[in-house]
Amino acid sequence: MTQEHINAAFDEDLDQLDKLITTMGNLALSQFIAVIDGLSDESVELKSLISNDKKIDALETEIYNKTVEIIAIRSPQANDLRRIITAPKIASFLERIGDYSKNIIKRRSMMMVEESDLAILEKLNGISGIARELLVDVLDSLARLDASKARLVWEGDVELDAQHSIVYKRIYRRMVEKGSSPAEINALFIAKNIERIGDYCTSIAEQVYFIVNGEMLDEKRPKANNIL
Amino acid sequence: MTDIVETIVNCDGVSVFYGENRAINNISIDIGKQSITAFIGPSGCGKSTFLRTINRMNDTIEGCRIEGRVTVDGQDIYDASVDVVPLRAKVGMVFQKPNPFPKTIYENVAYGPRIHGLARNKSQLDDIVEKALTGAGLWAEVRDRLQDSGTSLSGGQQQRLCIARTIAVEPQIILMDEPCSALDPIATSKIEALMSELSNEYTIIIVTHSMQQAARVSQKTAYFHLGNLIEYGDTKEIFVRPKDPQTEAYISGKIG
Repeated sequence: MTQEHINAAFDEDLDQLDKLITTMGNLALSQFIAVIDGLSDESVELKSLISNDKKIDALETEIYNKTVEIIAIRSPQANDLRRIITAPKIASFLERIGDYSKNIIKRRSMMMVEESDLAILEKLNGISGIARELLVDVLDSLARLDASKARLVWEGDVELDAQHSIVYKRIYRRMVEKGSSPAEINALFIAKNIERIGDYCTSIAEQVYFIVNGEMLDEKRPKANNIL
Repeated sequence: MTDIVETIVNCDGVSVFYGENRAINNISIDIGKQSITAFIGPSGCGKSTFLRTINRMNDTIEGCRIEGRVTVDGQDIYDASVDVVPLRAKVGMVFQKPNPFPKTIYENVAYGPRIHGLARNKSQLDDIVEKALTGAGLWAEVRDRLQDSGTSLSGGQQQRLCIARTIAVEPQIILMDEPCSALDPIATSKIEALMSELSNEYTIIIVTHSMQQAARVSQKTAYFHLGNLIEYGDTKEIFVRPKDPQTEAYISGKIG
């Protein structure tokens, strides 16, 4: 809503809440981008990612507290109410994205990459690229309150699901043929974590759609033939 | 939208004029029986004027003229044959400022039933007074002081006394024009709780400037602006996803 409140302090509260969510979204995104880089570059530091994750956790708490404060003081209605009530939910999805990113890099650090594992890493890079695009787009749709773009993210996750299935099957086949190794087990976890990040992007997209339209996307989300 | 089970007030193409000035512009609305409907809108939007068309309180204003049709329980209340005294018993009213008569608590309640001939003897009148004060949630507080002056009560108690006075004449509809604006939050909560109870038996239409009050107490909300009915629907819909941008701006406290 571009219209301003008669009480300017209400707009300041909403701006603060928006800034907290934007900061949290940017942190989650930069965390995930660092993780993607870390898949092929072992020098990415785990420590800095963990400290980033702590900042994300702290922001989630801050958003929760700000939401409670605004509801108590401003008694928001209609579009304002929807924006405010979805904030802690979006924050919790971003926190999960941060957490999954951290787990991916932990798993990656356990992998002793040999020549034969490079193909697996390449595949993981492929699906993480799709997840990254979903995350960038959903954060953009949130910043602009663009329901059409949110809907595209919601529909676009099907591609990530499909690619995840392919990667999963490949790794699984290798394990059956050559016996399982720690690298493959970790790769399976990493693939699953990336797929879950895509799911959280669709959850955020649903919230954006709700803020704009006042109703949830009630259709069935397109799904790839998932093996899990 | 929750369907109105049974309509008690039907307004069809209602316009109200003060001299040449049109205060209400061609409003049509159905009000459901035994429910609470809130009229909201900025000052001067016509919500109080419209409320007063439902028991012909505007008749007392010189130069006030109405077009269109208002029926209460199927009866055209602007028909020449209608006597406004029984109409105003049937459609009672509670005002912004508690206005008890300068008489005893008992007399405040007994006055209406007596002039409308609802009691045949003192014992019946006593019963009516007790029932009305109980219905208004005031009996326990005043049973031992019925002969005290109505004006000796606190503001919140006075307003409940006015509600008791209204329900003593067995109305079907209670119109409330900002009934809590002169009351503190505790007294307001008591009136709001009372409204919910009363709506099991009566139809309540309330004009309020408090968005939260409208949201808390009513099942239906009508938003008025510049004499027009902008939006009318389920209160939950109006406050979560209003359809009209003007409603959205008003309830969100934005410059419209």
